[in-house]
Amino acid sequence: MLRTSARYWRWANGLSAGTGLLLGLAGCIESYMPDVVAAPASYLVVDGFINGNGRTRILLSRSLSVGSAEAAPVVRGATLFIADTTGQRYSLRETAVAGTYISDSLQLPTGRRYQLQLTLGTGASAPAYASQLVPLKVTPDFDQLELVHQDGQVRVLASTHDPSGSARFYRWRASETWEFNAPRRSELEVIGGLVRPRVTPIYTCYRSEQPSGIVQASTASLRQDFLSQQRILAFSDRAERVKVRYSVLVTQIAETAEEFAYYELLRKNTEAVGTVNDPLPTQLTGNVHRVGDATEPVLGFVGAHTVVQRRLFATPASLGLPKDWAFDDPYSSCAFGPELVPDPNDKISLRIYRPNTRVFKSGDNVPTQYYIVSGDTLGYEGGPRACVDCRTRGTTVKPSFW
Amino acid sequence: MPRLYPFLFLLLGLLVANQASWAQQTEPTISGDFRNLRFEQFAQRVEAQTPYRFFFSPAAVDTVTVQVQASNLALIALLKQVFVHSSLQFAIDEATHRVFITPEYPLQTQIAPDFFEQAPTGTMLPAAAATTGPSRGNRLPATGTSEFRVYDIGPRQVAPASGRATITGTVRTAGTRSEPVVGAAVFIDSPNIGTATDRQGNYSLTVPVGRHNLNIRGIGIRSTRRQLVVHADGRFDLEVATDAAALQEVVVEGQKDRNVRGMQMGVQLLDIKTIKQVPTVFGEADLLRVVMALPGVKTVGEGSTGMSVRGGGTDQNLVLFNGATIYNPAHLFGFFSAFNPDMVKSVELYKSAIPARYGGRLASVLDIVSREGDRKKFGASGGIGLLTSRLTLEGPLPGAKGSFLISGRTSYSDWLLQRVPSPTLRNSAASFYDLSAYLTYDLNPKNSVSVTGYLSHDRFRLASDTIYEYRNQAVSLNWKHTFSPKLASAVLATTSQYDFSLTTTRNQYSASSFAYRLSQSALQADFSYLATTKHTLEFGASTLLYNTAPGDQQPLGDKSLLLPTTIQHERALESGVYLTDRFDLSPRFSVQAGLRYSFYQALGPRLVADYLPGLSRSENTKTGSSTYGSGQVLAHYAGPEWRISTKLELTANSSVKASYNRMRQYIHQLSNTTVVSPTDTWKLSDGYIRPQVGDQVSLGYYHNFKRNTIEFSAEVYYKKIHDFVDYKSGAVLLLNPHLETDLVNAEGRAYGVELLLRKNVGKINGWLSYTYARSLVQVNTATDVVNGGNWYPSNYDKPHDVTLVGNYRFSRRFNIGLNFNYSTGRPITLPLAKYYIDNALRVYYSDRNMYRVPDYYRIDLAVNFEGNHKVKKLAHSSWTVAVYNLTGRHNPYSVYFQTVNGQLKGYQLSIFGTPIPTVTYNFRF
Repeated sequence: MLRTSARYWRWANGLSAGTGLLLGLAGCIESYMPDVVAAPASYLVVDGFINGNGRTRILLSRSLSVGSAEAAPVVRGATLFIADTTGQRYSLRETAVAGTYISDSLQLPTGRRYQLQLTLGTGASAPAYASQLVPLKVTPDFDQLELVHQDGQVRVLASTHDPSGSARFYRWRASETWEFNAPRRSELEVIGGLVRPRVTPIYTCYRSEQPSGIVQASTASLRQDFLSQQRILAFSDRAERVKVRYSVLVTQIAETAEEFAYYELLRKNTEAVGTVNDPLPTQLTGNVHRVGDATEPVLGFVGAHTVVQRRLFATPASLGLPKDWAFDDPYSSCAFGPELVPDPNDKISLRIYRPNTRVFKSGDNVPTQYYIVSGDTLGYEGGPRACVDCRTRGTTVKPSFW
Repeated sequence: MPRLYPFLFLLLGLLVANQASWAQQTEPTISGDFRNLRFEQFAQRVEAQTPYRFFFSPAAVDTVTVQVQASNLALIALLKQVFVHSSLQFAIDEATHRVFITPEYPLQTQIAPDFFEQAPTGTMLPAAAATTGPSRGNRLPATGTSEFRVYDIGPRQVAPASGRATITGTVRTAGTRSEPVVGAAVFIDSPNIGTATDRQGNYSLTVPVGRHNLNIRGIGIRSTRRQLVVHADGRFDLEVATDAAALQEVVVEGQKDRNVRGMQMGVQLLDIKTIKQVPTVFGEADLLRVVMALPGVKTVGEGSTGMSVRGGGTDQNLVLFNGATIYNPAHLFGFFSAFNPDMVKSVELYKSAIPARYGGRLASVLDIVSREGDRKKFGASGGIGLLTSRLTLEGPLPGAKGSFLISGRTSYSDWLLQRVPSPTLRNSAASFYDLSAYLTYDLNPKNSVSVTGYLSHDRFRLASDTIYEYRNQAVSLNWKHTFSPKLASAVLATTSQYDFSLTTTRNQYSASSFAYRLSQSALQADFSYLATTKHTLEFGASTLLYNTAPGDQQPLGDKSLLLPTTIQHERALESGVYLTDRFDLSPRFSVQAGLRYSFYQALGPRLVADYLPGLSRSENTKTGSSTYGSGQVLAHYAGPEWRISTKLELTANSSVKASYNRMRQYIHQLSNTTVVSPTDTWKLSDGYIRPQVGDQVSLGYYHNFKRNTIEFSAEVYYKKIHDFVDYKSGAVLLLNPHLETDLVNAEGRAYGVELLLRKNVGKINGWLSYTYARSLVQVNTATDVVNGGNWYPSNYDKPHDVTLVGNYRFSRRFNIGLNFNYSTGRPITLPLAKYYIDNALRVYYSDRNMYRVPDYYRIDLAVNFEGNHKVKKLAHSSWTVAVYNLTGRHNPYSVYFQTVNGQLKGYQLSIFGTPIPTVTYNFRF
């Protein structure tokens, strides 16, 4: 049914012929990975944009073959500049994070057109690349950014307008963070192979995610450059992420029609391609080219815009969820159990005694508390690490904005 | 009935007295050498010399070889010599110069007058009496019902100077449901001259004067023959028995030797019986689905009625229902074809050698003909299936000169949606219906009219806030007139409309309604003229006015901020004239040469944007615009369309045919999906979008085995398509005021081999076909390039295809149908590299259509049970139990790649991945 629900949107958009109707009856979806996708493919990838009101951050990497399980290799030692039509240049420098290059925090003048120039390595024969010259788009601020509970979903809705009518094309990025707890509090910790009272907290953690979907909207067909309650993000109101506290940082970007079209194609290529009902996938590269060799595919679109950001927080109470609200529980399959380890003073001939442990020694399982029956401590209770240690799904480091 | 005749014959012989009434002495004498002649030949020669005419049963005189030489002998004396060693008897009626040859007993030539009043019609006696009538020259045309009597054609006194005479007439089925027999072969053996009946059952045949056996063969009728003596031009109407076995049975039958003898190549005819026996996914007889099992026709996706014929696009097929164009012949997003099977008589598909009277589409013509209502009594029939029910009413019009047929079908498929475990779909609704009516009326023997009305409607509501609707409407009026036995005409006036709408109220600020409409009105006149025995001319003219409203979007509600957008309407006039001559150079070699010349004018009012020459059209290269007033021609195109085919009969059972044809298409479907979807629009050619031009050459070999019961054909074709419409990346097709900036003209080519083995009769029947076909595209203009300008496979390129459509009849009440289909997988564009942008996985794709999905194969099975065959009962009923995709193979409907948890994964989707059983109940009153 994965496909059926995905189709909902495209039907509504009038794009597809609605085969999803019958999928529920007899359709089936299976994995399909042909061999042809294994060929090596190492193209330069330019990821980032020219920031008109802050630091420009560019990540250079290379593409991988589809079947590859490796991380994308980054490109080091490149020289990058932002250049404008007046000949002004702003250099970027490589940061401690390999392959990432940043500029100073810049306030770029509007009314000019900008491009990114880069050279891989040094020397006269080093390959040089450049993005197309693009105008700097000024992003209007949010009129409103809401986190609401509607129709069984928690939704992030943005409203904005541009009185000058020049923005017209918008794109948003969201970065989510939420606090969550492990199902049981652990009072014990294995230190040096022995069970001791817990020192390292592992009960409350924070998890961050960045949705990969491309969210765009255009007001080109409207009388005014006005957007009301545009949906940026939506997820089930039973999701664990709103169980304790949830936060989302929304970035709004105004973009050019070309960039909008590029991201539309990119979205179609990635999210809606391949069924007979879908548009043909496009051999899409971007607006970066190799100087002197237009045939080399270079991937990525370097736009130029100012950025508007706003952060929202939500708790079950702020969303109006009832006190006894049942949330989805990622730990519902967790099983806990005791390890019987008697007191060393007991004269029963068992081989190990408290605070020794056999079950919890390797770290795959984590003890939570002593196992006590009728006042007698018979051993430890515990469960698998993934069920007790919240750090398997997040970090205990509280974010600065929390 | 025919089997009774010999018995009657004998009985008559016994009843009459055993005495001949001998002739008077004024009789003419006969001379000549009649040695070593069969009796028939002897009789012919005597008939040539004298006014006498012979009547005999050919079977009775089979064994007689005449060994007589005569010199001024009287007929009596001559016949006595002839029959001296034979048991045959003869009787001469001198009043009418008729000679009767009978076995054992001579016939009494004078019969009591009151005998005729009592005799039933259809026996030989009253007909024989008719020939004795005094006013021979202007008597009513003979109605040929008997195989055993000899019919006179034309007044005997007027012998044509050419030695040839033209017989015209109508072939109708005998009995209460008398209908014209269409497409039946009417021919004489020696010399080998034949023709086929037209839509009204009319035929016209020019033969040497003299005696002939006229053979009649056709679909659903029992093969029969009539004995004729042709004196001069005359009319001969025939009533033939329907093939009772065929009615109970599933018989795929064309004219038996049409495969070899017909001029046509690349043509497939399916009658409704064939269509009904093929198992389908929801148990509904679906004619488009059966058409797709024919060689050279590929479906664009399982569960879609979009089809590609010999590598052509889905918009290159002209779908005609009684002459009216149907633009979207599909229901429920293509899972059903929008033609009610109860309404349909036959479907004819032209893939090459398309007759010159058709124009306007490149790849094929699908001509769907509805059946005629019952001319004798009222009746009702219908069917109840899982998704739809159908009801058909029919009956005679006053005076029994015509009939009506009204048929409707409606869905009740919402229950299906309720079962889908998705809340969105559960709140949805889908429904469709179609309605057709067909009226025919014979004004007089020379004029007949028919009227067809057609309406199909689909509505799909998604989650209570989005509604799709689409509708086909068509009306056609057909007037047929016979000027003379040699010249006939048909005038056809049609109007068709296709429209769809889409309303959405999900967001009150962008709530909208969208509407699209295409309508066309056409007038066409066709003439056929039998110029001489060697030349048959067909000519005519047509004109067609298109009106499209390509898009109208309006805000819905007060809060909607949407700007109303209306794309300017388009109008155009497409006209054509044509002439075809079928020239029989020899009985074995014929040429059909045709030329259609078509004209196209795109008409104002319209505002047309101008672009910089030599650059890819885009908003950035726009320089200004030009205004055209109402009716002003803003672009015009014209060109010849050659339609040439030849046939050479190698032997009586085999022939070679070749054809070349050119087609021009002025209207283009816009769709960036491969299947036909309800939001596809049609665009008229204009100054930027040139008409598509297709050329095809094909060569075929045809062979019939086992007395025409098994047909074999092999056809090779090569096709070039010029200027078909392709799209730039990310083309916007709806509500685009400058659509020309998103379209490019592409080149296409296709070639292939089609092998077909078809058995039409017998317990086992059906067909087996193999096709090798390629279909390639190239986009390499000065301004736009796809895949580096190289040829690449089109979406329809599936090189290998094997199809078996079979039926086995266990008994008259029980038969089994089996489908098998294998084809190469469809081309697909695959991802080649993955990369990360903004921490999200993205994909870099290969060149377009470089790879293929896995191969397709499927087996379906259907079992048909008929009720008992008692003639008198309340309702005739039948059950069909079918299983679609018997092996449950997961045929990939599509393959797609999705990013799941940051991982790029490939999936294949099968729509009908399990065996799907269905039950249908059919009835007829």
